[in-house]
Amino acid sequence: MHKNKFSAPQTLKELSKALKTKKENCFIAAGGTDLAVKINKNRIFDYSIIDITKIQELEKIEMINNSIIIGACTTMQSIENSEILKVYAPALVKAASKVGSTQIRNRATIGGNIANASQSADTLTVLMTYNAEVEIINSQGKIVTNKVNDIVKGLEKNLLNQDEVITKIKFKVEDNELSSFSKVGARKAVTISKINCCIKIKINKSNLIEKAEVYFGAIGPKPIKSEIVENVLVGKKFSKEVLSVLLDKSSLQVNEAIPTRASRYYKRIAVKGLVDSILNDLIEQEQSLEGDLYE
Amino acid sequence: MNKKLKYVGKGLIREDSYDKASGKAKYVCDMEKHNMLHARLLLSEKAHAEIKIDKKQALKIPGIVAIYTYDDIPKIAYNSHQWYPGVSALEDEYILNDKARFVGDRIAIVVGETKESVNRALKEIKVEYNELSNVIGIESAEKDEMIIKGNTNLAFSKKLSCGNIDESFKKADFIIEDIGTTQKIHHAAMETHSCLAEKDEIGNIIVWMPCQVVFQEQYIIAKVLEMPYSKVRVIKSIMGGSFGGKGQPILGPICAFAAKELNRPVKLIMDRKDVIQGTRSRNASRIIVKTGITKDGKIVGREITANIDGGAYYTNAAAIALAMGKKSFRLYDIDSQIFTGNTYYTNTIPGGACRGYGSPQIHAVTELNIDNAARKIGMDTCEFRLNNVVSPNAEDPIGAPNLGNARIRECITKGMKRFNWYERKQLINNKNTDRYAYGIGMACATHGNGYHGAFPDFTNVDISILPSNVVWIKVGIHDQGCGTVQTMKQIAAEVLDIDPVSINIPQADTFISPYDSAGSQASRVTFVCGGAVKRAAEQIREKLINNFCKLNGCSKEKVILKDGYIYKENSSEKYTYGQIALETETNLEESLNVNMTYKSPANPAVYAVSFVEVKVDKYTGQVEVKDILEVHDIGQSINPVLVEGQIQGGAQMSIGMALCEEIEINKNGRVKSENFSKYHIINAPDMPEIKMELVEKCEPTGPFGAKSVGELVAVAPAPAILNAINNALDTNITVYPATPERIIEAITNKE
Repeated sequence: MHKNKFSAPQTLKELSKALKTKKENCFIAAGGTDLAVKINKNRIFDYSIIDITKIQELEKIEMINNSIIIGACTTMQSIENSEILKVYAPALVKAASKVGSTQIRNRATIGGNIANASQSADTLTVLMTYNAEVEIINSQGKIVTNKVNDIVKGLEKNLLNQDEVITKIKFKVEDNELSSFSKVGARKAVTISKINCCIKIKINKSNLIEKAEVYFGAIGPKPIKSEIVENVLVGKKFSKEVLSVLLDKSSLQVNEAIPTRASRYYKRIAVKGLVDSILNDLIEQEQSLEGDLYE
Repeated sequence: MNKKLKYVGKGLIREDSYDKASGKAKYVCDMEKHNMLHARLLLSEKAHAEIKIDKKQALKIPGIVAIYTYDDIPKIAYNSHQWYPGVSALEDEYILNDKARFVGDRIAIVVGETKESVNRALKEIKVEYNELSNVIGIESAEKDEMIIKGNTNLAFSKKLSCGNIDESFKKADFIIEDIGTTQKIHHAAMETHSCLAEKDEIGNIIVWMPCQVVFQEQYIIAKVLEMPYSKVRVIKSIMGGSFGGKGQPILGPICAFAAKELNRPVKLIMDRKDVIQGTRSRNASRIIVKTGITKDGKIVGREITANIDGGAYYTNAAAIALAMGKKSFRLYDIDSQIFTGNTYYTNTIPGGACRGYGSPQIHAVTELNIDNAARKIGMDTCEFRLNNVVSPNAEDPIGAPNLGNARIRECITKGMKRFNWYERKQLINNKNTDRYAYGIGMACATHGNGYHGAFPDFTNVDISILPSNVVWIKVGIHDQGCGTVQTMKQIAAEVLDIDPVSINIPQADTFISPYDSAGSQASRVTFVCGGAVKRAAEQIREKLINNFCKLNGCSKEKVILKDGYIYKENSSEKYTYGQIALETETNLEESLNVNMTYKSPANPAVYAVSFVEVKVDKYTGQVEVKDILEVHDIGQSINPVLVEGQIQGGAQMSIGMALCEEIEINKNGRVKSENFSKYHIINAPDMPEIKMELVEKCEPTGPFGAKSVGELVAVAPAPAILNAINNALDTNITVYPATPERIIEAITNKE
């Protein structure tokens, strides 16, 4: 009978070596919160596991110049508590804080959330809004960089090769950037997104929105970019007054994304709740920014 | 009530708390026996199909010992709802069924040396389903296009009535009609179903399992295995919750069969998916209520039709309809009322007990209708209810037992005061914003205290005082996690004036416990078994005193029992009860023991009122219960901490019923909510703080005035929440649960 193998490389070099023998039913565990459920659900009995969470360099959160670099094995809990991310990528902090339960967040990692590629993944919506990239290592030790958007197929499929593993997540941040995330599920916490949203805006000195990036999650196989909503924001004065048109356009966006699904009747209204919460959060962030300036 | 109570009414700590909190408690899944086999059931994946099972490949898996299907089992039909042979009910289940009648039906059992071999074999069993058209939902059943068994899908129908409904409706100024539906609900006990069975050295079958009625398990197991009752020993194990879900035998008979066939211990465990799909659920219902009222707010007549989804087997088809019906006559004083209950077969999970047994369903709709009636004439909903609720000691209009010391009126008035009802009603709208709407609502509920008046309701108690100074009480109780054992101890302690830690009450075991007529169900345990323990304790107290007098040559009037000591008035010579027990054996040549039978004297009603404030998000449709107050007429609390636990847990279930819990079954009969990521119960972040008030006015027929609380707690919050949502949104949502989607739909339809 097959003997299940478990390996836990401690360096990237060891990881590459381990990847050389990776075949079907050999899984990468980067926390295992989705993997364990899948193995159980699909009744997989004969399998091997490469646990990458012992590779210490994959647990770091760094900022180099304008780039944020997050190790693939950084847990949701670490992201939630990262001082760097709280300042430079508040949407990611928020998304990480809304993933599953406390127990799940203590183990689930950002790399795992990307590779698992669920249509409801919370951090994916944010990472795509930030146009994030991932570093991928293969069995030859070769490292390539790819857009998150390009390796996530959605519906729990990714486009990684059999011998590839995500090692780092990178994205650029700018000054005067605000971002927020919101989701709605069946209940307040420990819930899967029925729809989620991330908005990132850059405000100029005259308080006009210079740039806007908007993504909606869970209304397609993977998060979708919303030019409809972005266009509403760009060039507008940043205030509560953009709200009503923002709400309408968000509904419109949902309608366009899922014109026939039965859930559209609910989601096109529920999206208003997301956008309302996000806008309130952005206004709060901006006020605290101003507060900092005056200090 | 009696202010001199010493143990009753005190929040004493129950003995099992430490083991449960520290993980030391051993549940069936923790138990191991020498040479034990592991087993799992294969459940049907189709709602209605002829089946052909090919087990050849699966049998080749190393470690597999046996795979049984319908072909291998004794063809003895039973009804898992029957708790003793006197309950007449159609017997239409087998330990493994010949056909798939719902997704989750038991079609095979796999037994092997290890859990892994069993799981591998389950995957290798090939089932060929020849699908038949199916019946999903009450409306589909009513059409009788596809008939599941017999000549019609209507499994049971009965009318209950009083007065003259036609005449009464003529007198009504308004007739208010509502149609509401309630969902199938999963019990969500933390411990999944489990069972361990073995044959002992003299051929007895011993079965350990978390269950509610050992004598029911014994009866069904003995029946299907064609064994005498006296050879079947069922031991109630430590239980991680039931809520009715472990009431009907599901695993016991099949596990006992495997152990008997293989002559080795067999442990059968279900996972969460198995439990959600393959056990029992709260019956779904569609209820039509018409209430005739006068302009000045008196209910003159009411007509209720409850159509009930009974699921694939007969089980509780009759009981659930009657339980719903009987409650309708015991909350409001209505001269003319007619209730019709119809239970239908469907190709879905069968119905069974679920905390409240019909009360949650019937009140879920009637209490919304009461609000609508009050609204129709512009009367405050609390005042409207106060106009119509029953009075203490009223007779039941359809001949069921007297209502007893019914204190619903106090519950309402006490609650209104604590909740600040009038003021909040005035001010609630001030909180509204563009996005959020606030509302308040309330609802009333009633439940019973056992089976008296419907089925035999008695229990036997064997109580001894041992020379080791332990009071040993044998009574067939099953602690489901509510603290039943502690409750019994406090009752006995009060009578005997002894510390409850000196009292030992083993739980139900058919070889140890004297016969109990109906088990730990129907809210009968504190009232009936507690009453029995009190009576037994009184009798042994009497015997203790008599023996003391005989041994010490004194008169009864001069004997004092205090803090576990017995002595003559003004004497410094004190004896423990154990010393007297020893003296009794030595000098009187008998045990200090009493065997007795206790018949329940009554079946009073209990009452509850729930008051809530909700905040409704008009964008996301999410509802937050901002405030909730539970007022309970319980007669007398035996242990207020346990009562509080019941009220909080019941509210948690009822909030779930109101907002999110639902076994969702699609048109093919597939269960969509097969695990806890899709079956949503109220979790800690969504759980409000539960405020509570007790009305303790003493029920004379209950032990120290006590009546039931454990089931009623899960009834009133749900309709109170829907009333509050409807108050906030000015809607009339009558479909449970009021999910975000349904709330948004109601708002959209209103606009």
